[in-house]
Amino acid sequence: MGDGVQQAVTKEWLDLTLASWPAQTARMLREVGDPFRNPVGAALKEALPEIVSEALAGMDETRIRAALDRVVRIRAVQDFTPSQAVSFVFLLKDIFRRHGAAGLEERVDRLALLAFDLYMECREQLSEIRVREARRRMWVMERMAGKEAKPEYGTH
Amino acid sequence: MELTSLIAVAIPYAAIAIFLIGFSYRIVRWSLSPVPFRIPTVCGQQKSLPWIKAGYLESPWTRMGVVARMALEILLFRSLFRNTRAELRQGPKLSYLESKFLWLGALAFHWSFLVILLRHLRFFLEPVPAFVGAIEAADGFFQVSLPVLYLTDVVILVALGYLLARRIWNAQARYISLPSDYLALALLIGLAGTGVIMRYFTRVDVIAAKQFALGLATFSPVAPENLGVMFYAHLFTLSALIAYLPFSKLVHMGGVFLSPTRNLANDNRARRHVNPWNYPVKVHTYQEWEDEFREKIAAAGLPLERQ
Amino acid sequence: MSNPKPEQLVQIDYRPPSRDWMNPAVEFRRGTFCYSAAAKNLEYLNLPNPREWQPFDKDWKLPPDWKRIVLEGMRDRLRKFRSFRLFMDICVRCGACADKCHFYIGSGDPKNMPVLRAELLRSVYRRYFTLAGRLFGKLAGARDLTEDVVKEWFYYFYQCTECRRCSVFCPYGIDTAEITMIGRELLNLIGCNINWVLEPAANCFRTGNHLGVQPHGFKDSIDFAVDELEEITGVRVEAPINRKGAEILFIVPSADYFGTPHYYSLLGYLMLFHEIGLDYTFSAFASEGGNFGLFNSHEMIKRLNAKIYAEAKRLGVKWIVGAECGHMWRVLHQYMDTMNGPADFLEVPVSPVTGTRFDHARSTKMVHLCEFTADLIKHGKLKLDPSRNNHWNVTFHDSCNPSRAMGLLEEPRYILRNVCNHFHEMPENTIREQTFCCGSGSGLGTDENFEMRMRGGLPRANAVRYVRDKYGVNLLACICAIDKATLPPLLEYWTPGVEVAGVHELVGNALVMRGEAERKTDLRGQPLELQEAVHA
Repeated sequence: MGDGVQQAVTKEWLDLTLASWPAQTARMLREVGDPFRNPVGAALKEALPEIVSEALAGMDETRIRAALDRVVRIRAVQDFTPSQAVSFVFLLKDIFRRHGAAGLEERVDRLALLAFDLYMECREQLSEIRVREARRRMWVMERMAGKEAKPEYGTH
Repeated sequence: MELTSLIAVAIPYAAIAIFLIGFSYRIVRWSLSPVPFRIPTVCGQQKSLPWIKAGYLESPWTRMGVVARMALEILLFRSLFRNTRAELRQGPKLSYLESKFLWLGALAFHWSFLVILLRHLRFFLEPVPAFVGAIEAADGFFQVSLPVLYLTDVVILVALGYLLARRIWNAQARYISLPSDYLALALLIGLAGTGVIMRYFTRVDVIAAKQFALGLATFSPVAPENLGVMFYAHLFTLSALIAYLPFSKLVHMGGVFLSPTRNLANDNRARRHVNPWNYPVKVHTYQEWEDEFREKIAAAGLPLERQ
Repeated sequence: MSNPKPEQLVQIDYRPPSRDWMNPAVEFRRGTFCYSAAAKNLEYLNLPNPREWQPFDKDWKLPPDWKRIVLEGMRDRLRKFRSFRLFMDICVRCGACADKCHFYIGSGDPKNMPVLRAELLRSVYRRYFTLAGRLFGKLAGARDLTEDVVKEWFYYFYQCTECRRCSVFCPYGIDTAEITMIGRELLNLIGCNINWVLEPAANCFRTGNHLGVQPHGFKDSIDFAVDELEEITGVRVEAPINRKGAEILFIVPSADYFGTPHYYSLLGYLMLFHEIGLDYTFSAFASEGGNFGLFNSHEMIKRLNAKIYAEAKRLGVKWIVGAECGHMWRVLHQYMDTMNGPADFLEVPVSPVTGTRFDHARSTKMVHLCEFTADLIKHGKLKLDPSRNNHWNVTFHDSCNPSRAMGLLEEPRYILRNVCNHFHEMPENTIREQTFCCGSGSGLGTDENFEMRMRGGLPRANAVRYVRDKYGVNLLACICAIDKATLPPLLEYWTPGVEVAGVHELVGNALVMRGEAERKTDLRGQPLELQEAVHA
């Protein structure tokens, strides 16, 4: 697989993924280069190429996981339904096909399943964090009432 | 006077009248509305301890500091420039160019417009003041054509073109734009465009134009002669623009001076700001509080005002 | 039957509908809005239209003449606030503010661009208060006031944290916080409030603090801190409450004696004041510096703030010190003196330890604890051992209000550089006056609004992630009670491994006290010898 195809696939994938945000926002996500002004765009621009390159080569799970997590973590708290949140992975299938990269369907399926796992992890994490937050608010009272010995260290 | 001359005289006068009344009304209404709280947006270190360097411009605590801050804001569009500063070291990225262009485009438009206005004083004053001549000389520095090509004429058209293109092609700017935003740009482009055509292409009779303008300025209007259709177009666009101004967002030219987040000093804790309509409100007094919790206060061993 | 191709799905389902911003319809999705205020809280505060309702209800049970009330409220405020009238008139929609809002950056919702948040109100202003709007309607950007518009206001004005970042970049200084404050006041007139603002406000009005802690509860928690401090340091400190004749009244946000990690800053305050022998007192009546009135109405700010000067007068103190808190300091710095002053019964603050006269606070007579502590350190009045904070690799988050309302930028940094050895700044366009909000300020830090808060806090967390990965930062220091409550969950989600602490917790760790036992743990109870420096 040539670098050209990899680049073309990445570009097309980024374009289609960006299209799931409102047009005005997609423009900002695409064009604002400063990662601190545009963290979502930066995450997409860093993560998607990484995923494509792994899908075309080693399928290193740790690296894919880290890259997918960056994108899914964002979409898990934005205005997307669960299916919308992970839909961007499925887009890859047809893009590969169109660029003549056959036989990658199974890999995309694996990516999609992983994305779904990550989405669920994020959502579960959110509810756990919410519970911990509620306890932190009343932390002194809880301890004064002796309901709990010293908690684990730190604020988390 | 012919009908056309009448229109050429009546419309500018009417427009000026609407402008003067409307614009003063807006300014007076703003200035009469009180500033109940001192709410500067502070953009730098406060003046506190003597050994900490305070931001004289970004967090002004004297009147001079405020004047300097406002001057930077009004003359150089300081806040708009802030857009670009942080990204200067991030490398030449598109967004950096984008936000820099907004600042540059806005600055270029406003300054050229001011210079062109001042140049136009030639038509309204006799003898022509020396500074007008000086401005013309500077503006026409690149004597590339005859009549002399004024730099500002080029700059204003490019800048306005950019500001319009930005509203049309930038999805974000398009989304927030209202019809009135395009109207204002259209009027300005029309005004600058007709002026440029008149000066460089149809070659208006400058003497006749000056006669007409002087007549208007001295309240002894004379009928315009041999001025051509472009002159009328120029005159009417101008009239439309100044008559529209008080009803539009273009009043920002006056409003910017009154903005309470910019024109107040950050000396809140040193100098008390008075709210003219400050009124008494229902509060919960200490005595009410003590009465409600008397037993608990006593039980906790805290002192009571009344036993 | 063959499945549709993925991008067909995207085109059918997943591309967001493109629509004009003038369409006011909003969807109240769980996780993205705050619940309505309970009727009892409105009643306690004598606010209009108390009733049972929720934002996702179809019928909001507005009063029959709600439209008249809102428009009259608008007219009244246009007359009273130059800021409001001016900001309604002069915006040119240049878009410089668009990508400055943390909610827009994190949510991607175009109506979160500050310019549009203001247009929601401006369009109604044009329709009813300007000639062009009355004549040309939609062409002039004017919109009728309908119930849907009210719902949209509620959704978006409770999606602004009044952080004022956009106003830094606006060429006219248009301040969305002003617009949101007025927008919320208008909603308040017809009883559309959120509970996370009004419950603390009602509690504060009654008991003196947001949590509704009564006098004995307040004393218990301070005593608890004193006991625990003795265990950690071996020093027994005094923490006087409601003591008449003290030199200084000390005001804290109530979270300091109830929540964590706030509590560790409270320990820091107690240690510091003991060590310099400060003649001060807490007040169980003015047991809250925070002021959720700021998130409700100007009148409520004044009602809740009144107790501070009243209590200073009753106790006969000379001046006031205020602890670490963000919006509390917006009120103290920009509103208190105007609303409830003049404080002519107090004296110009002079540090009893260094003799420094805090001339910049000569009218309000209230000094920020960071100003006070920085002065102590500068004059060498504190014995500090920064190596006790070696387990922390620290960055500093400027809280919105201390930075953009006060300009309190260097004082906390000076303190941090003196109490810890490892300190790294986040990128320049995310700190100081350009600091990103935690995403939960202005009363939005509630549980049901959690997803929205994660969106709003993304830009902040993203900058933290950068210093975590680059320098190994593991602690974010800040001086705001809302930050301390809401940044830990935010960072837990976006950048695990970074904890949150108040500046005075680190002061407490580093402070060497006379007669102290060998310090075995830091204020969090983490054993000191087990800790290894994690800095890069």
